[in-house]
Amino acid sequence: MTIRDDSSSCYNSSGQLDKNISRLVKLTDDSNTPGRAFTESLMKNALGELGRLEVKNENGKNIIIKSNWLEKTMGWAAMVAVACGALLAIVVSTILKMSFLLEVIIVLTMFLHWLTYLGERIL
Amino acid sequence: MRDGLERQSWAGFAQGNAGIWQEFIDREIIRLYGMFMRHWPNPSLAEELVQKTIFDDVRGRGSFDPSRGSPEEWILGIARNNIRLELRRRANRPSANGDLSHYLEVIDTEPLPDEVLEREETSAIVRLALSRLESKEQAVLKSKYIDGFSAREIARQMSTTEKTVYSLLYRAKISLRQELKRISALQKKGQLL
Repeated sequence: MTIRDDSSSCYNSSGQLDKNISRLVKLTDDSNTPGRAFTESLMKNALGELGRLEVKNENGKNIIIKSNWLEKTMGWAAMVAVACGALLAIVVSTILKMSFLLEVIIVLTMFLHWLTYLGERIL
Repeated sequence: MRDGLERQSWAGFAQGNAGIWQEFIDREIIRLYGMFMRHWPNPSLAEELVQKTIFDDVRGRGSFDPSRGSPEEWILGIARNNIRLELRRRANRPSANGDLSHYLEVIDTEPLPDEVLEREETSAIVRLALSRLESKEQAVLKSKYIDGFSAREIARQMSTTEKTVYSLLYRAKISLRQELKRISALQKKGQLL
């Protein structure tokens, strides 16, 4: 979160002495307001951070929209598949004259598969 | 009507409207700086805490709830929390009881403790040491560290080159260090202040 941006390597070469002198000299400032460079630099960096967070949030929203769309489509497809399967089971069992019990088992199995899918979506 | 406008502005704040944030930060920097300076008369620390508070505010923007108060009240809460953290940090580190001359011996390698910087005598010694430097050295130190000008800006003000500013700044720092050591040694012996 360093906000000071001075391109001069000479300024940075004296390291700790430079930092300490800076802190000492600032003690003699009677204005009771922060320096111009500090204010400008902080403003620039804070707004930059705000912009970066906005971009991140927008990307996050897009991902959520995509996943919602995908989930809805898959849900509808599953429901249609289950309905078609049930219908097919009834038709096939009627044509082949299968026992009523077998027909009920097939329909129940498909219904349970559908419930499992819905349960996963809700949880 | 005014309340409605304020609420609208709060919503813009929560949504990250750059214009509203720029105005807000511009206003709050001065207020927060004054608040931290009242706690600890240490401009460097006040700047650090202002910076931390503003960034905490920006990053935590998502949790701002306009129904619970204004952005000003919200940032004040963050600032108070940072004051508590600073107090805790100070309580957990060894106290800086030594005299200034002791810390000036290691000024090139060790950071000066905040507690030493906040003593009235430190400020008085720095003022005295600065007053004993050449006027050009005083000017370059104040321009760099108080006004925050870059070497290029200082060079323009002084009608000289950047290179000259760098060497003047270097000489000024060395002179100030020597003066500080001399004055604090005299003070320790009771021959000054």
